[in-house]
Amino acid sequence: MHPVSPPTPFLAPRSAPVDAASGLLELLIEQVVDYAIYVLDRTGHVASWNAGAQRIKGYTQAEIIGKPYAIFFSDEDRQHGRPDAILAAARTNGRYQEEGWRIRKDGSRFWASAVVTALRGEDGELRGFAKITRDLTERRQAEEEARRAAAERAAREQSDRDAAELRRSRDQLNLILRSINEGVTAQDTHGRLVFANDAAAQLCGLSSGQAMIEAEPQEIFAGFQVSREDGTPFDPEDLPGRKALRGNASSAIVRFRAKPAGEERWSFVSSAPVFDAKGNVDLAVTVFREFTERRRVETAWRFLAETSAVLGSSLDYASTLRQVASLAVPAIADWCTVEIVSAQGVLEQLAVAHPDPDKVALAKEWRRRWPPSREGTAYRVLREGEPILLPHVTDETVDAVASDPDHRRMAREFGLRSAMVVPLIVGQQPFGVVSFLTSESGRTYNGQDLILATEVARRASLAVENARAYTETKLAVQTRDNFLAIASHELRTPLSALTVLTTSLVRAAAQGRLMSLGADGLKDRMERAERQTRQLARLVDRLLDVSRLSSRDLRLDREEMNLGDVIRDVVSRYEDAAAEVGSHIKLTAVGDLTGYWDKARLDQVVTNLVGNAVKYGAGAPIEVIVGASRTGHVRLVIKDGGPGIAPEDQERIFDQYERASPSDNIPGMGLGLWIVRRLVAAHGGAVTLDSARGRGSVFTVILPSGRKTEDEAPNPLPAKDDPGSIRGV
Amino acid sequence: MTFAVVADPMKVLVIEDDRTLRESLCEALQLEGFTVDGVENGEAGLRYLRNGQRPCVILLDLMMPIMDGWTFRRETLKDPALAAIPVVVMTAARPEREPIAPVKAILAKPLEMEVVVDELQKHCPYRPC
Repeated sequence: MHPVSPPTPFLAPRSAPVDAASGLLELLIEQVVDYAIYVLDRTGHVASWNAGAQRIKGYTQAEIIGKPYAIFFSDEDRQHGRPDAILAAARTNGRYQEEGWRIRKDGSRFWASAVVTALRGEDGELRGFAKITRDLTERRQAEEEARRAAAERAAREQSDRDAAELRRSRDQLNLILRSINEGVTAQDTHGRLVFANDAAAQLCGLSSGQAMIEAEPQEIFAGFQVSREDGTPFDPEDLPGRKALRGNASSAIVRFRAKPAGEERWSFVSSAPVFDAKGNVDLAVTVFREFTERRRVETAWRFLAETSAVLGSSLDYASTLRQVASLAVPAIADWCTVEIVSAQGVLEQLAVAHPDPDKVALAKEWRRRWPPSREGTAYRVLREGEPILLPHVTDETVDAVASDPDHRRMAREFGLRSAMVVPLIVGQQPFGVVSFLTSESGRTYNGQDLILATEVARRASLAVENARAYTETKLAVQTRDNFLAIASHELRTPLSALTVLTTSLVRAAAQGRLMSLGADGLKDRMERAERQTRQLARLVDRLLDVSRLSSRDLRLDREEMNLGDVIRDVVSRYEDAAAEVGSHIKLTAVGDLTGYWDKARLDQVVTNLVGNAVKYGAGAPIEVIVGASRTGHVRLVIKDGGPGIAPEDQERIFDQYERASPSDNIPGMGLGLWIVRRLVAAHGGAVTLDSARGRGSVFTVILPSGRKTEDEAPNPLPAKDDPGSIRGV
Repeated sequence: MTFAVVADPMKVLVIEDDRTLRESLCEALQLEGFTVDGVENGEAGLRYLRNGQRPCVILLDLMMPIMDGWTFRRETLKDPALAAIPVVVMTAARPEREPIAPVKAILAKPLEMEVVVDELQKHCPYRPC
């Protein structure tokens, strides 16, 4: 602050002594720096100055005295005549006060609070104007700054609150996204992942959402084989995520598997675009929902239902089991085989199924070259009747069952991943195995799958059992019906004779004619009636015997005996009957004809054969030759010179109730040869026939001695009437 | 139709291969007052008739060796003289097995004498006291 020279004494028209008060007043005016206090003369020119004025307006006293009031105003204000207007207003009203812009000496602006007061003498004449101006700029600035500071602080606090709120929301969202099972991702328009939750990462085989964001999108995608629901490849551009980036929301079912040989999985994928304020795509948000497990369960149930329908549809279990194998692929397996054990205890392949027929042919060839080993899984399951699960088939497992390098190579080529082998069981006895194998699909079997497989096998076994039982029953019923029909037919004639005999006696008695018969006549008729009843009794016995022979447990009452004696007995019984038809029986017996046999049953055998020869021999001579063979068997041959039996009938006549030519009407039930075969087989022997039309017949019976040291002779005739056999049901 | 030979008023011909039944029937019918001849099969029956015998009724079994009842009936129908003789069939066979050329009756075995006698009396008019 410059010291100011003493001002021109302006005030005090009356000269008055400068007293202390006015001296202080002058000091006040001079030295106060916060206010510009000065006067203008009547014409509006500066007439005094003070330190405050200098400070505020920048002019020194020397520079400003005499200058017009307008110097403190901007050009604009001057143009508008503001200075004069203010002075006029002060003149009129005595004072004028305003806040406005004033100009400093250096041309800078400041906001001023200005008061102009008109000064009048005692006479009221205007003498000049008093000006008091205050620089409000600082204050204004300070106020502005305070406001700004306050505003900034408020804004900062708000921003902090917003940030906290945002963090909390994000944390909450993260928590939600982490805990849901669905995978959620967000991609930007460049395809980069800006968000991925852990579920999405796991779907892609990564450890966390963070790892997924950091990974290259292309790398993630390249690790997977992606297909549509029907198995055709999925064009990446058609995937919902890509479509969303183009602005379209969509969803699709996706099949995918980790290369090279991961398990196949299924997922529902749904994407939607997120637009920014201008309506352009900002992000694509995608949700993945995997449903592999659910689909497996559905497929398993459907397979089980279809299997049951097929198994219940027919008694031909061979065909239904093949169908079941076909249904299993590819629903629950890549390969399915069914093996059934033969009468010799060897597993034979009934069915093998795979979607590719070429592979099926290959598998059949493989099976032919390398049948399953007795120590292998299939036979083990067959022996123990328990299912086996091999969740991971390794090279070691394969090598263990392979018998040579070719076999090993073939086995490895099939690329088996997982296997289940389950038994087929009827009445506690396993009769086959079903195998489910995976290869291409990469699927791994678990305990749940084994339960399903075991259930399928159980239903299949039930179907087989039912088929067998049904057929057995039908056969039994048919046999019984046949038997009843023929038995009742055969009984009628002898019954007639008895009825006639007895009824006539009764009628004679009723009519009083009994005495006319005479005692002898009466006795004769009674004896005939008695014979007839005995014949009927024998017939009934024969029928009961047939019933016993039909049943499976035929018990032989063995004893040491001589076959020669039995044959001689039978031959002598038939001598008369033979003579009646003009035939005779020639018997030749050679060697040791002893053995351990059921005498009564062998008598039946010989009786039937000799009886047939007499009945059908047409009167030609009959030869009976019996001898002991070198190997300890006994051989009995019965030859007749009858019409012979055509080759096409030869097997049939050994069946129940069959005759060579049914129209012959020769009495008998057609059971004779069936009885012979049953009894001979029960002794471990065999009966054969050599005959042709017009050549007569030669029946040969081979009988092992029946003693324990000997082996049983093989029975060349298949047991067609044996319901125990499962073949050809 | 005229007959060359007059039918014997009470003569019955029994054709049945089972000896016991045949003999019993013959005796029983004799007791009833019929005159009875018995033969064991259809062929023997034809011979009997061609020898000039004319029974008033034939009692015919169906299932017989050599020549069965069906064949016998067909043969008799070929000869007008024989065709007119009434035939009564007795059989254990099921009736629907093979239909037989027209006969007067089919009797089921086991036979009931009353039924047999009634049927035969329809065709043999006389009965001595």
